[in-house]
Parts: sequence; structure tokens; C-alpha cells
Amino acid sequence: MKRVSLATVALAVLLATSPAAQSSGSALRHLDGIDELKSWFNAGQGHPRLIFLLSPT
Amino acid sequence: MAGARWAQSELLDRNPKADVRVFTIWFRMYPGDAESKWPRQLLTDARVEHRWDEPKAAGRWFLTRLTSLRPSRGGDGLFPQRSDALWDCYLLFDRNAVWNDTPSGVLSWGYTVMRTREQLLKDFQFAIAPAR
Repeated sequence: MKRVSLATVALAVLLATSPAAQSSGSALRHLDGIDELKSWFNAGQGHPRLIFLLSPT
Repeated sequence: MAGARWAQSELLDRNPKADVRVFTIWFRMYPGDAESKWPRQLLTDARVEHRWDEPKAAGRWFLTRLTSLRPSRGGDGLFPQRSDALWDCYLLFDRNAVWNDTPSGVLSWGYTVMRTREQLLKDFQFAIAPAR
């Protein structure tokens, strides 16, 4: 019984910390105007940068 | 959304070590679009940031400044007609790009993502190559 409980806890921790769980548990942040995009852009100098403008359908 | 799915599989999954940074901005373009319909299962790569843009600020900004962008490696120049925002679109920039009044270093941009994906793939490979 104890072994089953430990396995259950381990599985719960694994699921809770997976990228998918983090994604589904977090709200979509709102863009703070074009300045936020500009700041992100300039902070990424030295890296290629790719911007997508998309609608959810 | 097909474009986002394609980008995850063909650009990011196939290039897990590429040092690219991706910013994905979602907004309403169709009746029925809503923040609650954000497809959180797409573009889950750690290199991707997501934002919801209710006033379409980014799409409007780029639509009015397309003529200021300087693609140096293609892009067919088509963009949404009779629309108030640039959407279903990608914009790819090189490592040295800087945004002052407008962003420099545009490698290409395309509308729609799926229609122009071959150009994006080609320029993406160029962009992620080690710095020359």
C-alpha cells in the first residue's frame, strides 16, 4: 500500500512539473503594448528572432 | 494554427539546439476568436514566448510599417488585404537585428505562414547557422 502511495505521489510530482502541465496551468500573459515586443527584441540581440502573429482559430 | 503546429515540428523540434528566440502574439481576427481559445498545446518549446494582444497592437503596428521593413532574402510581399492587422504571419530577423524606430535585420516575412513556409524554412536554416 505504501509503495502504491509513493508511486502515486511521484507521478503527481512528475505531471505537475512537466512542461505541458506548466503550460496548461498558466494563463496567457497579455502583451504590454508594442514596447514589450521591442524590449524582448532588443534583449535578444545575438540570437535569430522569429515573431509570429496568429489568431487562435 | 496549422502554421504554429508546423513551426513547432519543422523548425523547433528539428533544431533543438538552435539559439533562436520566438515571440508568438495571439489576437482575435475571426468572430468567435477568444483568448480562452488560445491553443496552449501548440508551440510549447521553451524558446517560445506567448502573449495575448487584445487591441491587436502588434498586428496593427506591423501592418502600417511593412514598407519600412527590408527583407534581404525574399518574401513574396503579399499581405492581408482589407484587414486591420497583419496576422497569420511570420517575421524572421538575423542575429544583429536592432529595433530603434523599426526593427532592422529582416531576413523575410510571410503571409500566410503555411503558404510561405518554404521560404521560412530556408531562411530559418540560414539564420540559425553559426555566426559568420
